[in-house]
Amino acid sequence: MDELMQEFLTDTTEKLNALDLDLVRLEKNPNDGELIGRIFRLVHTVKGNCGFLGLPRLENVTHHAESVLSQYRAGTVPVTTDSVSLILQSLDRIKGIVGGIAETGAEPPGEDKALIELLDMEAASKKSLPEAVTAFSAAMDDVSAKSLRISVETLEDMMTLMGELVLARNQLLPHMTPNSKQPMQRLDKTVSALQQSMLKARMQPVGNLWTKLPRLVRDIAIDLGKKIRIDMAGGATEVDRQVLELIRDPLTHLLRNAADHGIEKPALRVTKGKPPEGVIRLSARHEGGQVIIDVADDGRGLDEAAILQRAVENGLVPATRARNLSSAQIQQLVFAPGFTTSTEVTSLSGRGVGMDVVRANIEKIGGTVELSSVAGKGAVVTMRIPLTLAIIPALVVKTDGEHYAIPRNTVREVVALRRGGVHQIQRINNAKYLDLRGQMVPLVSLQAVFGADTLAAKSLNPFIVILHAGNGVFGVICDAVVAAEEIVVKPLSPALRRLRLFSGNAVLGDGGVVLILDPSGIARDAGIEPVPKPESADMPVLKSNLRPALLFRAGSGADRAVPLEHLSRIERLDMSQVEDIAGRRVIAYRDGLLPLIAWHGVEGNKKRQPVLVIRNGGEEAGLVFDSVVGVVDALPEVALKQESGSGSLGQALANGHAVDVVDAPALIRRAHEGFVHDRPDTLL
Amino acid sequence: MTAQILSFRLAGQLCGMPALEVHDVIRGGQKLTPVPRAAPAIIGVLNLHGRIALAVSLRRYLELPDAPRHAAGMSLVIEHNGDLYCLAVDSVGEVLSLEGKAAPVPTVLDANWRKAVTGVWQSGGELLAQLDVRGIIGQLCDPLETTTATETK
Repeated sequence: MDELMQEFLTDTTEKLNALDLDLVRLEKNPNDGELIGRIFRLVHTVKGNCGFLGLPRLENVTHHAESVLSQYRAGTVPVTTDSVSLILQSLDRIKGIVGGIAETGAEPPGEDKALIELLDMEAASKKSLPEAVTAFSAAMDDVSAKSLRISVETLEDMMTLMGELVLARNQLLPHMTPNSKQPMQRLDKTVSALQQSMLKARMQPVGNLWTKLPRLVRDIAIDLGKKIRIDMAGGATEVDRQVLELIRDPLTHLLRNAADHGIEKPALRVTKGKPPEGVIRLSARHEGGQVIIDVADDGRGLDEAAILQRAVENGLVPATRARNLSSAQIQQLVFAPGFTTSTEVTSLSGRGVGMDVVRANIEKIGGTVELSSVAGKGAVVTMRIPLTLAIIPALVVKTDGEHYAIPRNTVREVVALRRGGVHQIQRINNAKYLDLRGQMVPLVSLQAVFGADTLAAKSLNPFIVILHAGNGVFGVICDAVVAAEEIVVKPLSPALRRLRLFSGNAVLGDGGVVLILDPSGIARDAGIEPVPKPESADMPVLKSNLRPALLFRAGSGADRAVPLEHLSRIERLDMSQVEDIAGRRVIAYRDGLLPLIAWHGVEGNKKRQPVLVIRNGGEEAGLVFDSVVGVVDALPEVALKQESGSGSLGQALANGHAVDVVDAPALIRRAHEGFVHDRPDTLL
Repeated sequence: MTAQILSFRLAGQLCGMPALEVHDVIRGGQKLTPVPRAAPAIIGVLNLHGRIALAVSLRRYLELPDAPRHAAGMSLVIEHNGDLYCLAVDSVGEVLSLEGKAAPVPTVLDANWRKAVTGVWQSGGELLAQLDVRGIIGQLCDPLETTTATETK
């Protein structure tokens, strides 16, 4: 296909897509002159191009459509609902022909007689005026060249080269000499900035996806005799174009569900005291490195009785348990795989058709879907999707001497197993479990999944990474957690896809390739059934947001970390001066008394001991410790959360080791309350 | 007609493939990341200028014994359906200009060779087996489809 044709097709398709959004507006306000003008100009341009591109069929259709449009524009023929349908029909035909050309390079065969007759009838319904084309040709889309079309391949190439550049920089950094320090820093900064703008170049507004949706809703509404308005907000929210492509189908599905099953017919709505016109609200926003898209409707909500009945029929829920399910649990059933497989889909009078597919597709790209519904009031489906698939935060683990990456969004927590520690692997026959806060989480050893020699040396202190898979969680046992890194994801070679153990691969900072684990695939392969996620309330994720921390050693057990924001000073204090006052262990310090906290006894210890003075607001306390291990710039947020008030925020990973993160505010509060003295064991 | 064939050796056997289809020839000994549970011929993945390539041992594909450990070897880089592949061979020779047409594959060859060889050339008193590298890659990517396709032929 020659370049001219290609350009014509791209341009026309883009304009047609852009029009879709406006066409629905046209129906509400049929005599929107500006809009009619735009449609007219588009059709006119297409027609003009047909002549020299040699497209007789398209030319014929556009010619007839143009004459009708020119009359609408001139106001000689009034625009009615029928007219709008006619315009839509013509544009659909044009779209079909353009699509056919794009596919085969030639006009697809087809008969346009009926449509042309309709158009001619419409045009003849009032006397026609001479075409006032000239005025419009001058005003034809004169968008100045502030943006530039660039092929996706070129962009991908640039991304690859960018990756190489980042790599080269990483390899250079350790070899910095005093002379090269300044240019290196500049290079470093420039490369980072360049990477940011490259990523930005891949971004597209979510609104690009939405243009087709009003039309879809309109068609459904007319088909089913409903009245539906679609509200959209946040269309400018940007997301990687690859992600955009992947959420297109799920989003369309959700919208169709809302229009089809959610919104009631006008008469029914009125009896329920709602306005006859239903509303579907589509909104998008950025939040915490993710894009959140809500599809909300004010329809009937989920029909829980019908869902429950279907679930029992399909054997998803034993009939005996059905009565005990909470409303939220019933709503979750629509996501269960196989929920919609039986009989005809339309017989289900609630929402949730094909939701398992929607969820699967969204989870494939590392997103999540949630649904909440209030019977009679409506339902909201919330999709959380990553901004980009190109660069993702990942946890790098080691097993059998090889490194593997696990996408951070699939990691629930990391548990370090230590001899004599709280967490131990339990066995039933050959199946391994971890008792995690009272829940038996099935475990799979990466070594076993990878078919490695099980006699190979086992790590004495393995780690368990608890992963999300579908609706549940399970744990993989690995030798060590090596690092938390941002990785540039590349698609897996087709020869490795059918293994279904890896979702992709990536180049690490050292230039080596690392395979990315696919949690669902691994669970499936190992034949284990992930257990349902515990209620989210009892597992709040540690919100450390990568803050710097001081690592220190005190008493027995793992190293501890205190966030620098809570650290005032490090002192060396004489432990013989410690006094016990009103149940508090205190020491004279500066102008007052400093309550002390220790992980081991300080009484009788006459030595001078190092003390970390920690603060929270205006209050201070001293932590007696043994030695400083080091400082980490960023304490990762992967953590095993402890009960609040235990004095520890949980375990985080620092320099490859699990460390206990000190809950400074809680410790200070307790030190001041005298809690330390009363129950030293529970605290430390 | 002259065919430009890049020659290489596998366990002493002279083999070849169309020179124009070879993107690049790289030295062996690159850092490979092994892929657990992959087909035996797939020896790992590696980073080639920012792109990730699948490394395939032609020796293993043809069920020849592995090369001695100290042998560095060479790799032919091929692009197939937009993906990169590194085919490990023992050594790479010169590009041969071969006249005429390749002789058909002798039926006496072992089955694993027969499915990999597209033709046989005479070159300097030696037989050169022309390998169907794209066929080999296709077979690694989708073993089922390729076998059924050959069966129905």
